[in-house]
Formats: sequence, C-alpha cells, structure tokens
Amino acid sequence: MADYARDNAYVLDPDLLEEMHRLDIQGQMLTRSMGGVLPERPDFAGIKKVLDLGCGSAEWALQVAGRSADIQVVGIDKAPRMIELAQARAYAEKRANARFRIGDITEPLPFLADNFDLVNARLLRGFMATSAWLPFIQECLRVLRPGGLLRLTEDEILLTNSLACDHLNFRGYKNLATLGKAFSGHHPGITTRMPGWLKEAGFQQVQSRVFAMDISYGADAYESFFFDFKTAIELLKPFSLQMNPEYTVEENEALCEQAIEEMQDPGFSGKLYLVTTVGEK
Amino acid sequence: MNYNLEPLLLPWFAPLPEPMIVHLLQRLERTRRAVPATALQVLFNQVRDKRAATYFYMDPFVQARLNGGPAALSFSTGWLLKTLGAQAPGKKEAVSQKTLSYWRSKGLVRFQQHGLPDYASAAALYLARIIDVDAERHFLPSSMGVDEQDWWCFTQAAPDAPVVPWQASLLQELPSSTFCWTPWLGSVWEPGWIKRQDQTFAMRWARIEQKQPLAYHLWPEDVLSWYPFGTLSHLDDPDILQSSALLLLHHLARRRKELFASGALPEDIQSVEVVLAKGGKNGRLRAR
Repeated sequence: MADYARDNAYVLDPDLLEEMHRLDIQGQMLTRSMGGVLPERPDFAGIKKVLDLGCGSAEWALQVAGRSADIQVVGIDKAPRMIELAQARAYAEKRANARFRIGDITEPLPFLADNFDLVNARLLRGFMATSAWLPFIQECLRVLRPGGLLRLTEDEILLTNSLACDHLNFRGYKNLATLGKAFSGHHPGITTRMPGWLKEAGFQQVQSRVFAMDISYGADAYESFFFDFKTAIELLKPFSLQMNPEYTVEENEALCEQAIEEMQDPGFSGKLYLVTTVGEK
Repeated sequence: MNYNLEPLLLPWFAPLPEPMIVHLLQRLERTRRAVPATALQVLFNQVRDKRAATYFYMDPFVQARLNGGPAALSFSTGWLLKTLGAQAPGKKEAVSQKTLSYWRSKGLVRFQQHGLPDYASAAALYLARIIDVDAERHFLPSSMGVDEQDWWCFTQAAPDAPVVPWQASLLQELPSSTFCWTPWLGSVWEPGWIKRQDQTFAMRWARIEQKQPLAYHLWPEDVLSWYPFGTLSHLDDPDILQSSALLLLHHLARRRKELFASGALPEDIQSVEVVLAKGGKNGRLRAR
C-alpha cells in the first residue's frame, strides 16, 4: 500500500509518462490563461537569473529562457525523468541558457545566498506539507538577491455546475487535508496564507493577484483543463480508493465517469480560482 | 476472437501497425470483458491520449538524435530499453537487450541501423507498453510479418477521390498529387511530413523529390487540381511551386482540423457494426 502520508510525498508518480504530459499541458494552460510567464513584470526589467522550483518538464522555464539568451534559467525538480526530459527539450529548443538538475525543493536549496533575481514556483500544494511552506519560503528568500522577486502561484478552489466534478474535487481537498497538505477539506487554504508567510519570512511589498480561469465548455482553457482533470482522476484512482475506503471500486468508477460525462456537456461551466503572490526581498 | 479490421480504421490508431491494434483489442476483450465495439472505442480513446503523450516525451530525444546531440539525451537503443523499463509494471530498471533482440527476431521492432531503432516502430512499442499497463509480458503480439510492420495514414489522390488508408513507408508509390495526413505527429521525424501548429495532425504530399531542403515531387497541374481559390501563376518557378505546395497542405489540413479536433471517433466509424463469422472466428469490425 502506498505511503501517501509521508512528509512532502507527491500523491502521483511524477515519473509516469501520463503525469509528465498532464503537468506539461497544465503548465501551458496556466501560462497562457494567466497572461504569460511573468505578467507582473512583462518586460523582465532587472531579471537576469531565474530559478524555477518544481520545474517539471520545463514548460515555464524554457519559455523564460526563450525570451533572451541573456537570461539564465535554472530548473530543479525531484523527478529524474522530468529533469532528463527538461534537459532534452532545452537541447532540442537550443536553449543553452537553461539548466536543470534533480533536487528536493523541500530541503535546503543547493544554491548560494543572494543568487537569483526571480524565484518562481507553481502548484506545489500536491506534495508540500502545510508545515513545510514557511521554511521553503525562507529558503527562497535566502537564495534571492536583495530586490529579487519570489513568485508563487497556487490554485485555491474549483467550482463547477457538475455535481460529480465538485464531489471529486472536494473529496480531493479532504484527502489532502488528511495528509497534512491542505488546511481544510473545503479548500486547500494555501493562497490565503501565502501573503502572511512571505511577510513573516521577511519579504516586502507583498502583493496578490486573484485569477478566475474560465474552464467552461468552449472557453479557451476548456480543452486543456478537461484533459488535465480527466487524466488526473484516472491516475488518482488508487490514491482515492486507499484514502476513501467507504467507496467501492464500482462507485468510484461511476463517479469519475459521471464527472467526465458532465464536463463534456455543452452546458458545463466552471471556474478555477488561482492566486499569484509576489514579494520582494 | 480474431479481428479483421476495416482498413479505414487503421490510420486512426497510428503509429500502431495492424497486428498490434488487433492484439490490444483482444487484450481489452479478455482483461475487461469488453465487447468488440466497446473495445474499439476504449482503444481509440487510449491511443488518442497516449499517442500525444508518446510524442510529447519522445520528440526532444529524437530531435537530439537528428541534430547530433549528446548521447545521454539522444534517442537510441539504450534509451528505448530504459524508457520501456520505466513504464513496465513494478518499474524494472530497463528492458534487457536480449528481450529487444527477441522482439526484433519476431518482427515486433525494426531498426534503421545498429543502435538506432526505427522511430515509428519504437513509438508503437512504447505506445503498446503504456496502453497495456498491467501486462508484464503480453502487451505485444507474438510476431509480425515484414508486410505488417508499417503504420497507416489517410490518403486522397484528388479532391473528389475517396479517402484511402495507405502504409506510411509506401507513399512514394502513390500518384504525386496525393494528399496524406495522420494524427501521429511523430511522422515529422521522417522527411516529407509537416505538422500543424495546433498539433492536431501532420500532413504531406505523397512523393518527395528531395529531403533537404524538402521538395515534393509535384507538377503545376497537381497543385492546381487541389487549389480552391482560382488560379495560381508562375508555378513553373520551382520555388513558387514548392511554396504553393506547402501553403496548400495547410489549407487542406485546415479543412480536416475539425475532424481531429473533436477528439472523438468520426461519425462514419462511431457506429461500428460487428460482423462475426460462424464459430466466433474472423470477427470483423466494419465502419458503416
């Protein structure tokens, strides 16, 4: 039986091909829907050295590297196959200014202090224990140069008109809360705490931007979101069954099928609420 | 049950060759107790999603190989063995060289040269592996004949001609004006194929005259026969002819975009009539 309760353990296998692909589609969707790689500073003024934490297959990092050969990008992720893929993509896309290495971002970061102009991380709540956030943010502060930016993006809640979709979602929040990766079973509660954590760590000029991504049928983000959701619930089935023994395999299958069906209905509507919090060292 | 697949179905399952498609359908029937029509729909959905993942994962490594990249990041026999092993149940370290040699002797994987498996053949092997995730060993058919190892694409010889499935390695045999298309984006690893920016599918003219830079074997009348917007001038200029041929590929592809973008089996294949011969053998899936 999988030990999902380990501190900072990801509930899915990040080296599984389908999960790598899902995360890449998800990353593209976030970048596109939220106004680009760095909507808070689209001209990248003063940003020459960037660290992407939990970089996955490098969707965000390579887009940043593609902006200018003068920008040096370092990506770090715990999953070896992700890093191998990120390195191959950097080579294929001729991004010599992007480097990737295996590393656990919940441990002290393997970089000197005052090193980066921008540290970026998105959607860490799938593996980050709630108790790990503040030490993580303090590490980000350490590796940033004075004046450097920390940029954290997390989703907070998905609301739809599909009962099955919402049911699966809230069950997911509850499961994460049980594992100590969310604060409540109603919503993760990470985004509401991010500004406070940044201030407590010593960041200044902390600002948050709320983003409601339209994932309704026919909306720009619909196809990507549907693929993301459909793949996730398929891959999460063993986790869901282990965490929710009150469901039989058949009941779980039926719930997933109902959610997929309702999301494919032209009347499906929903919004994914995300928050980006930025702070300056 | 033995399947004899309607040929028009085959290109939808690219890059899988026919024996692999049939084997996976039979596995679905046995392991999920699915009736043939259900098995076909399930496999179609799996191939559609996992083919995209296969291309996503393989492409950077194949590009590195094509561009003389570092060995550690390039597609090779070693890379394939490691990658297949990573997807096997229980996550073995790597598939053994002995196993690969056995597959090769049975026609299940082809090689371009020593140390370099054929790209499409490797993709089919990988796709079969990630579709039949529970099978420790039996995710492949027992063997494939030389004439069964190819994947299939759609072809159309003229605007009013029927759509005909054709083996990808035999396109040079078709009339030069034949338009070809496939949902398998890894086709672009071979000369002649180009893909749409939206990654829905790839297309080409059947015959190529020159691989680098790419030049199709086309005549001005071939281009004009497909051109829907009136006349084109100066097609006797090779540069204008080739540019027009590329432009036309994109126009033709655009018309087929909806078919691929819908993400579902096309209407003519959605309702599958299963014709079974007596004794349960020679089951035949036929598109109405």
